[in-house]
Amino acid sequence: MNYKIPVNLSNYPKESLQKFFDDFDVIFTDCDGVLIKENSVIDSSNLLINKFLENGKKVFMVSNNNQTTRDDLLKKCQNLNFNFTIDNIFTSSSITGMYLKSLNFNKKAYVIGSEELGEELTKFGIEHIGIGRDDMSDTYGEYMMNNYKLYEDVGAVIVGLDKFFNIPKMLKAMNYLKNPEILFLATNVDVRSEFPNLIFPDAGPIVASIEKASYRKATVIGKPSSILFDLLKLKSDKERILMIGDRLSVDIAFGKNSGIKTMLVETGDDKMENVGEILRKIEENEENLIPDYVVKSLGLFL
Amino acid sequence: MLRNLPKNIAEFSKVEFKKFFDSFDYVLLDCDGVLWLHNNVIDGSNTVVNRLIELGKKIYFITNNSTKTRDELAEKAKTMNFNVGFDNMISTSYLAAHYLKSLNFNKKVYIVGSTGISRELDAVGIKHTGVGQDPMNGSLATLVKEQFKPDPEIGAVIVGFDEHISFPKMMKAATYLDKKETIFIATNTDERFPMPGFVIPGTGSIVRAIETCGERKAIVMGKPENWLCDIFFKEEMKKDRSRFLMVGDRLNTDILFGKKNKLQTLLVETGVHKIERVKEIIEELENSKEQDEELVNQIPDFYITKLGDLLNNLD
Repeated sequence: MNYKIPVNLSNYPKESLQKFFDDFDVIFTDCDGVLIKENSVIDSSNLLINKFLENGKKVFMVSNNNQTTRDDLLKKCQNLNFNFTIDNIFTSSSITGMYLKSLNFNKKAYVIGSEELGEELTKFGIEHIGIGRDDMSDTYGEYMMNNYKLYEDVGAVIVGLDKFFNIPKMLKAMNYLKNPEILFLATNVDVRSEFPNLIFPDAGPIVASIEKASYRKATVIGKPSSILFDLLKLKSDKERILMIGDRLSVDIAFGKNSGIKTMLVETGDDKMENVGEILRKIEENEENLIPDYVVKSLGLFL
Repeated sequence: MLRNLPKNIAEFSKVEFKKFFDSFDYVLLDCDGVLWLHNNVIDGSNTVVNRLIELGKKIYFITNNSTKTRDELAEKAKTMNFNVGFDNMISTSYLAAHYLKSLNFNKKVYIVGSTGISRELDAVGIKHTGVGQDPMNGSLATLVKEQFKPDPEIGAVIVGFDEHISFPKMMKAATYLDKKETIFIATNTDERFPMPGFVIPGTGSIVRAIETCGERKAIVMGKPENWLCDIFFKEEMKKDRSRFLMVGDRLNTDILFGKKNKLQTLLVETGVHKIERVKEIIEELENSKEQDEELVNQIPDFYITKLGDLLNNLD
């Protein structure tokens, strides 16, 4: 068992908090629930981020969202007075592109995902097929036997949140994946979003479905996988790199998997109580969910 | 611990066969891979089944497939010259309807599946939302904001094979399942099926999607789960279970189901598994310290190349 009880910074004196980030050269941060909620800034977090940028810290905003392009996410942040440039913004779509590029991938990708995921892949020079509506042109029986087409130079199957997910897509993915040389990538595996009176599935259930049908496990690109961290090849000492997030199983786990420091901010999904629950009956793989620091809000650092 | 290989019925003497024949009253037969392959009867299966019926055995066709009603299954069987009726058929859609009935279920069911399920629910008087297409229109944002009003009458979700599975259906199922009292039933969990040259999705892949976004596990009706014995044959099972013979082609569904429920088991080699796979399992068990019960329960009592071969012994 190798974990420490998190340091709760919420009651620390202002002087300490204002110097807290002097110990870090690189900041990874989640977006929703940490910097932004719906369409507003959370507790002036933009001022804190802009301070980091002014002081020459490297800042990486990492979102698992693959339903919006980096350009649109950047515009949204800039409109809310975050001084980000495109180089600060990473989504599970763009990280997928980076990953394939790092492998010198030069085939086609069969993609179950959004138009926006496709746009990001194209920006990285990845040729893709499969995005959009894919209805059965016939009865199921006929379609199965005759009417669906597999392309020969497909080298990867990429699965993300796709509002058009259906049997034809499942059928194609599982048949491409029969070839063990074809890569199986998941942009992310977030399970769902919860709204009042509505549960909204995310990529996780779609990935799980294809895994079951193909008898294969996907390589997960987005948080909590540390693939982005590995790709960035940062020179800084890991003790001076911090991940800030609001979800233990996604953000904190990403930080732990990357071997860096982690901070849970309570302005989003998870709170100190959730950490407490884990600590009370810690199971083997849950050490990965315990942050080094917990704080009520980034506003306290200003 | 040395295990005996299953006995090959083709090698039985007249006396041995008579003993075997007299040891069971009920014959439960898996369909695909035992009686037929898709729409083609397997040579001799119909003749054997009809002879067994003549000789007084009680015959049941047991399928994990939820897309046909018992009537539709019987029709299919009759066109292949099996002398059976709908009351010889047991499908997972039928089991699901009867499971709910046994709970005195009086609410409504949200179905992710086919008419195989909706019609069986109709037959027992249980209300449901119907089946068919529910395609994505518009953006995810509009789907969140406007379109879906959960029906407060829904008390159960049944998932079977649905050729029209879609994102909106996943969303609705997950929303209903968020209420703990909603009963969650899956007809079966077969992941996929081999076809010549390719594979097709099974119900298991659809169930997996819904279990994941619903963050709940389904109660599974089909083999290898025990519901067939617990619901349909409840009374008979209280007596001598060994009077039941389970005939199947899949070790990890048919045979596992049979042995878990203490029935006699017969593997036929015209489908997924052959005796070689049984030998592999026995070897695996011999080489491991722990005796994995799920593996032990995949070793059938008997095996035969094809069902039609029994004809030699039945005359």
